[in-house]
Amino acid sequence: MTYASAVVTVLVVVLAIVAVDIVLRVVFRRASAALPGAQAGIGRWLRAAVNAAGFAALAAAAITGFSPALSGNGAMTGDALITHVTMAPPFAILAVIVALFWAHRNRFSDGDWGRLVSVGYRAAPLRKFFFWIAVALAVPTLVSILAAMFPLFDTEGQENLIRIHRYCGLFLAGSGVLFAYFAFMAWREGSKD
Amino acid sequence: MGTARFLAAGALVTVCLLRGQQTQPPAKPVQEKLGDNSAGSRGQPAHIIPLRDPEGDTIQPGDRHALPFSVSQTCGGTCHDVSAVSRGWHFNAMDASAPAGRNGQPWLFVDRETATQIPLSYRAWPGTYRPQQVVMTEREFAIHFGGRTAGGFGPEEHASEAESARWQVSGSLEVNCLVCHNASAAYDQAEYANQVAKENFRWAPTAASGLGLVTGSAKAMPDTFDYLLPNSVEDSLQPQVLKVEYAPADFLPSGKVAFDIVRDAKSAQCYYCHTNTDVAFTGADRFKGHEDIHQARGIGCNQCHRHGLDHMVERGYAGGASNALTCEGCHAEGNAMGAPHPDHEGIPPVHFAKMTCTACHSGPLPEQTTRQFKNGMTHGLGEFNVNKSGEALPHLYYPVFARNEEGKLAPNRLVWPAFWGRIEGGTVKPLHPDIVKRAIAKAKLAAPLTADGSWLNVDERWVEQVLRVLDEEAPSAYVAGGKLHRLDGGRLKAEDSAQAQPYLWPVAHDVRPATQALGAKGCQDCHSTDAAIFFGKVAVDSPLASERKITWAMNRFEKNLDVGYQARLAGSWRYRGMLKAIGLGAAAILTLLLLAYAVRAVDKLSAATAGRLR
Repeated sequence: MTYASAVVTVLVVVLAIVAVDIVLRVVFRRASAALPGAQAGIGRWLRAAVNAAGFAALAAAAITGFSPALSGNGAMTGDALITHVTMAPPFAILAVIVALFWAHRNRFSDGDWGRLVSVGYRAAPLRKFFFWIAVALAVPTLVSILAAMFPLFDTEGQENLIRIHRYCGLFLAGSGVLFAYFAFMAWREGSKD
Repeated sequence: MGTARFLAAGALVTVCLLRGQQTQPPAKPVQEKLGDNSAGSRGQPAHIIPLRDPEGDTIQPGDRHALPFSVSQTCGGTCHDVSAVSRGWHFNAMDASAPAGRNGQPWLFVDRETATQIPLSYRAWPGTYRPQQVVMTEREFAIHFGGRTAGGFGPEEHASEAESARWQVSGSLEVNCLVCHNASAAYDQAEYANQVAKENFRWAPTAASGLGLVTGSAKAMPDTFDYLLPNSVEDSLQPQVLKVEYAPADFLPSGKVAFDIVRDAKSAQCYYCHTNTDVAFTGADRFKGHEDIHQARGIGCNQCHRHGLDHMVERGYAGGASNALTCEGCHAEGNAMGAPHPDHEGIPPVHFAKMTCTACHSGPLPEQTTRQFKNGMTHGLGEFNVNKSGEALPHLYYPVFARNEEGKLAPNRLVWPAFWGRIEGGTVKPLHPDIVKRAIAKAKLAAPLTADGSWLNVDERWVEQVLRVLDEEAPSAYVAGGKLHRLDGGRLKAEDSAQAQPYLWPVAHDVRPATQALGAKGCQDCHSTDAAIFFGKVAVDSPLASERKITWAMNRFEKNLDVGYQARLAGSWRYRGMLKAIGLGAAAILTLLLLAYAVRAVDKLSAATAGRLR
């Protein structure tokens, strides 16, 4: 399987999950709960700004990362590389902030499994699942490419590091998008956690 | 009925054809000679052999009119298939049917009086001219360049009567096995070149071998000279008649001679022609110079540049005859040569797709401007009375980074063509320097030669005046300094021309080890805003001082290079440290976060399990 086809597959899977979720919501006629009450002013805006910036950074890194593969240009080079690398520090910083903002809220609780499988399931458990997947993938995505910048690995090692970066980054993007989707849905459901 | 006749006729034709095939004589098996197929011994076979003259007769030390020995008769009589050998790279320079291979070093025809330096080659290398294009006959080519070859020149098929007569006088410059395979301390290639300059082609190997003392000059002999009847020339020419005097002490009691022949030529023998020396080290103490890492480790030229009986020496580049004997072939993991496999730690693999090994490992490290070098073949290094000046023509430059046939960036050597020519059909057809010399003499424009062997001290006015004389016969031009100069409305005009482009050929040696490679000091060897590999300058060479002040950007030779991108990439390097710090810091925090919640999760799982077990 080529990297381009892997990118397409992940994109299709993400869209399929979203589509299935929408269908389930229609089938179970789950109405949106009343939106939660407004948080204290600055905290609410800060959270919204971090979420938006984090998602934008993820999208920028993903688009610059995947576009060379999707356009058939093969290895990333030229200005696409510079843009991708330029996006990396903001993405890394925002990834940490988003993770810190969400980690506590995304602790799994005893009732998560029940909420997921019960009729009229809620989005919060899936949000938590994809959040931790994304955090777990962010580490090898960052470390692999940074390790390649040091004289530590030979050519084969370098190729493996780049492969790790590309595939972890691909799954990170997929799980990041799903985390954002389910976070939004959970917010619409009026999830308390 | 008609069908039956047709079938019958067909059958008859078939039978006739089959009978015809049967009656053809069987192909004659190629007779393998004594030394063409080794029995497998790693020992050095003794070469105690009789010397044979061009007629095939054995030479004895007491011969009254001793003839020079013929290498093809002596080596090829019963032992070696010299005709097979003669198809090899070293001898097929004039064979237009020989494969061209990638661009190689051209023959540089230099004429200082006319400020000419033109790259010639019989091989189809773009940017070189075939000697015929400058009306240079094969004989003239042999006289000019034969002294720095291993022979392989003889009368061409369509030689004029006069040329044929001269070939009869001088003899052929036949394949000279001794150039590479004679390890005797008495062998002197400089003497070989000396003899070739005197047109003593037939006598050159004898003189070079040290077995015979050759006097006289074929150049001085009339067209009627017969080397078998040397005394038939008039008395005034007798002192110049060619004579050979063998040293009896060199002959064994059997009348044979013991040659110190080696199967594998020593590198020093290759270096006679294939020396490249940086002008900065010309005249400097030898210890200050550099050496190829392979040579320094005791690996001789022929250990990579191998060949079979056909002498098609492996040139060692990717896409050549054998990929096993390229840089990658020898240094591949688990290679049969035992060569170290490079780890290239920390170097992104994209470099290997875009650059040759030589880009980082061969030639001098690139500097802000290109360097000058001299070469054994082009400068006659090692010959008698050679001009040791660093400025002696031709002027050769390196390293110039350009894309090769595979699209990879590679270091090259470069020469700027400088020649006079006629403008015909939009192209410039080079003129033989002798024609230009006559025009210069006619107009009394001869300029004094410089002592350092460099260009004449001439200016645009001189070029204009010479062109004015040449234009009297046909529209003419002078190519130099990357420009085509011609008269336009009586005034000199310099314009761009494909024919004025410099000729480039790849740098393969000297190979530098990893510690001295480009990039050994870090990525910024190349990824900095003043990195020579992209932003260096290539010196322009021309007899005109005004043109020598100009330089070309290195990236002008790097086709399809996005210079802006390279500048932006180089500019971004200053933030690389910050990128690493932020990335590693973020990865550390995320790891801690994962661990913190993982510990809590494990704790909870443990507690739950314990509760159930209770």
